Amino acid sequence: MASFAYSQGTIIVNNYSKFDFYGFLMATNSTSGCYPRVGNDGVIVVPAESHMGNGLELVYKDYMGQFSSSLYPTANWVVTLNPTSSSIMAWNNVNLSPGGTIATTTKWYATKFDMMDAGTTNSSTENFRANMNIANACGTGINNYFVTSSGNNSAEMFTISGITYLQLY
Amino acid sequence: MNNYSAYDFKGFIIANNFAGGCYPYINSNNPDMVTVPANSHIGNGNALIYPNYRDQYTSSLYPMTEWHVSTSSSPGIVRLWNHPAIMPGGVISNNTKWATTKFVMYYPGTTTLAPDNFNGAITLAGNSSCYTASDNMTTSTGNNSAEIFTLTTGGTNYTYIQLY
Repeated sequence: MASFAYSQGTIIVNNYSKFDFYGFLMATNSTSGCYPRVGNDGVIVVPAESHMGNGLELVYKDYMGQFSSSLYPTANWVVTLNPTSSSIMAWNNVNLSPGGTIATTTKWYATKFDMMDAGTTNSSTENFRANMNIANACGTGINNYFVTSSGNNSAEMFTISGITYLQLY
Repeated sequence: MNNYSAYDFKGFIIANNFAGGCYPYINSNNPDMVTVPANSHIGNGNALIYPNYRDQYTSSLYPMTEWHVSTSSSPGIVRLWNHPAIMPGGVISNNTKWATTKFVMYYPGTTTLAPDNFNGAITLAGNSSCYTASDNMTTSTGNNSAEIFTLTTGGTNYTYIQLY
């Protein structure tokens, strides 16, 4: 049985809020610079109140396996290998395999999202939307907490033991 | 926490991750230091008991209104006791354990320091990579001491801080 020592790690999204998450999840080089960089092509939707407490959280263990194991599969990834080269790879592209260079050199680090009223594509009146990121080798600073102007909703992103969490409240 | 001593305890209560790395790292914030009066312990029903970050607010004799939560070496954030980020069963709660106290003892009802430098910091054995301290301390005269340890009962971990 092969073991894959890849650094990408798992990402888990817990949406405890009453809004639907419409967003993007991004990974970047884990040691230096911004490349490779990987993000979902089509928007990911995680419905309101979908989290580990009810087994409805988003779990992506790797770019490839998530398509069959996750409740919210991503079919295509945008892969940027350098500032002038970007391409779309299907989930089963061999270059995205867990032991491959892209997976072993990238780590989840950012999200951008807009929360919608549940079951609609109307942005919530709370203006619950943000770009967020944790510490990363791309040097984009740290922006790991967000709270809406009303204080009614918030989000945080962090890593524990190699698992990256995005939590929406 | 059992304060069997003749002095009031005033201290920070700290929890951290034990599964690799020290984060999340949770610190009492409001009050920053909780006071447990002299002679307050399970023997007389006056022990400090925090079952988790949230429920302690309604169940404890010494409620903590806010916790400071660090999920990385960046500054972290203050959470109200009922913020869902620290709810029981959540990621932060599931990945942290009560680990440390940093405290000062006072003569009862005063801000006059207890004798023999009865103050310090103690952390669970094995946690020194996250907090540099021993798991016990004794004053120079030997009259007073403190210890921190865990016991597991019925699958639940209990961290005990005892002042003598």
